[in-house]
Amino acid sequence: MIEVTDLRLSFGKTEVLHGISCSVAESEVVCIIGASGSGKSTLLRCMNGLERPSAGSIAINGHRLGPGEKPTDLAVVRRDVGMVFQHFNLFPHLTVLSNITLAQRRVLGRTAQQSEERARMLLDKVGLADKADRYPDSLSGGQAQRVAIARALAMDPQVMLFDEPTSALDPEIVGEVLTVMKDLAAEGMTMVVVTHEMGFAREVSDRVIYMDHGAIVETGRPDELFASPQAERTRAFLSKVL
Amino acid sequence: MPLYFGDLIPYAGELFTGLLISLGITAVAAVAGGLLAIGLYLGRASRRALPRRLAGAYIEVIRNTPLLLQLYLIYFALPQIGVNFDPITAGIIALTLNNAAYVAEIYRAGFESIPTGLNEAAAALGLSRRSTFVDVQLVPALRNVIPPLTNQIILLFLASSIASIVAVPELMHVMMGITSETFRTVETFVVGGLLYFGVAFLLAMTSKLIETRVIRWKVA
Amino acid sequence: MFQSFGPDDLLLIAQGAVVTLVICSLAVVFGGTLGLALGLMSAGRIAILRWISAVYVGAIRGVPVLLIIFFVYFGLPLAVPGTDVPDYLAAVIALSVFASAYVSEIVRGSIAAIPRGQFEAAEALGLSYWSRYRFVILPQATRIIVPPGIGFLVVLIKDSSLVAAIGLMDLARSGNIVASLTANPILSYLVVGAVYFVICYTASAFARRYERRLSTRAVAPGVGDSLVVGSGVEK
Repeated sequence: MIEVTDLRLSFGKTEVLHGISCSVAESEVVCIIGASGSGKSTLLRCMNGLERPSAGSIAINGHRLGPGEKPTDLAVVRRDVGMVFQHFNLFPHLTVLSNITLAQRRVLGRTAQQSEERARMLLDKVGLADKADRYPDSLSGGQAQRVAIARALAMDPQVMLFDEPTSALDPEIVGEVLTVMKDLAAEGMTMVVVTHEMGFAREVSDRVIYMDHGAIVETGRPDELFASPQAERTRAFLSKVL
Repeated sequence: MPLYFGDLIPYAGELFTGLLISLGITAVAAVAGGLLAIGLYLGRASRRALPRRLAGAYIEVIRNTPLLLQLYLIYFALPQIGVNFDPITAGIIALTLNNAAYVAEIYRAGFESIPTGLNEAAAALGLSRRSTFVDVQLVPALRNVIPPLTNQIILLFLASSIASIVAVPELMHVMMGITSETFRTVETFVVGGLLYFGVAFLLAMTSKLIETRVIRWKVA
Repeated sequence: MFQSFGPDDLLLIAQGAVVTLVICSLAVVFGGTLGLALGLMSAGRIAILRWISAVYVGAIRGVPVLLIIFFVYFGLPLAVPGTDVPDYLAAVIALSVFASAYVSEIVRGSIAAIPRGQFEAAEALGLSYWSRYRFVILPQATRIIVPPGIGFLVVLIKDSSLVAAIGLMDLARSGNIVASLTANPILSYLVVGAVYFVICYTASAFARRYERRLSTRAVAPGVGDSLVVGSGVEK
């Protein structure tokens, strides 16, 4: 589904990603963990073209995103890939419902009725059916993030990217978002999640990638990586966060 | 030193007319300048270098030279090449051209202060450049520009006094006329000052009202 | 007969420029000091001082600069009978008054931009009002003040052109004189405009460079932060 080959990215003169290679299979749930500045969000953002690699390539469903990709490829990729941001990024001047229907209508060409039906169905699924006509500023953080997830799902993506989805939430609200994500995983959605929630990573992911200083240090199944990490750095990181 | 405001009473009508003319000049320059500024902003934000540089140069020149000088050029210098404007037209043109530069920058700030996250979300959803502009950026940008725009109108109103220098019969010019007739300098300026202040204050209150009604949401 | 534009005219313009720079500098000194005091008053805890400052600033900023200049030039001799107010003195006084109101707002905004925590920490350490402001608050405020301060300087230089209306031989008025001497107003005013532009543009460019360096300076975290959540966090 996602194929990353020797990906390099530099901001100006500073190289931030040093030759990353990894892959994500269909229906796989991959969690990327690591300290701040390790490049995990940057890597994630390469997967839907928000960051452009300086060298190497990413292929999503066969569509290449390399240094010289064309705009049409980008549009196709973005249709297949949905993203949920740390700070939700809901459109403040639109109602919750409009937030979810906007891209459906403009990008997918669905009719108003079709997109509204889908939107209400998804809102119901994330438990917020009654908030359809509210504005984002009246929602709590957890509710806003669930709406953001619904908004991304409305596009029927094949892959969902999550960039620290719970980092901006109060601890007691984190759970409601993680529940939605767990259900999504159980339904077989391909997910790549950058997170600090080790519990979630251990429970739900099929594979965990630990990154440090712009490179993948170790990757493996959660029970293996958390219980007996191979690399010294992984051990050091885990001992600090667990 | 005794102050006697009574001498000013017969001039009340003149003062009022002067104020109306000031307001009229302000309104025309505000609307015309606001429209011209749209063109300037689009030029500034264009992806082609020529419109960007032209608009940018215009804005920089206007913002780094005094309004008075711009008025001098329009009213005193253009006749040298045969372009003659009557005082009120010259005043309006100068104020419009000047206002447009500042309003264009207000538009720019309005768009640039939209949180990048919103633009990223729009991109991630696959929205086209046009749709991003119209559906995601326009309304928040409009709400962003309302406070600085209303402030700019107040500044424009105060700046309209510059037309007095080319003998446009607006409020400041009327005031100078009254002082030369009555010699009640302090009183005239106090009354005139209160008129300017009063209008500016009303405009500021109106803008606060608009802000609280229109800007209803916080970015989430 | 009219002379053609020559070095004498440039000299006149240069003299006008000097006059403009001198009166603006004086206005910055006097107006800036008064503005600092007003700004501290309006950011302070004593309600009556805040009120006085607010009324003063509101009045000055609610009337045209031209009015202030005329008021000082024509009104002051009447208010203080017997005094003769030469044009340059009236100009400096008027511009100082104008500057003080502007600077007061900048100072107030800069103090407000400093996180509450700095005030609280300074108080908790037992520092007196003057010590707090002298050693903790104002040093940090100064760094914030510079960009809008320079922006204001540019405004002052441009608005100072209005003193031409009371006959003072500043840069703008030198343009008038040269224009009538040479019967070439276009060239005269363009030259004057170019001088204004160079002065103002360099000042603005300096402010922009200073603003870029602001983020790397030793200022408390949170100073000058954008207040908008969701503005994109880089990792």
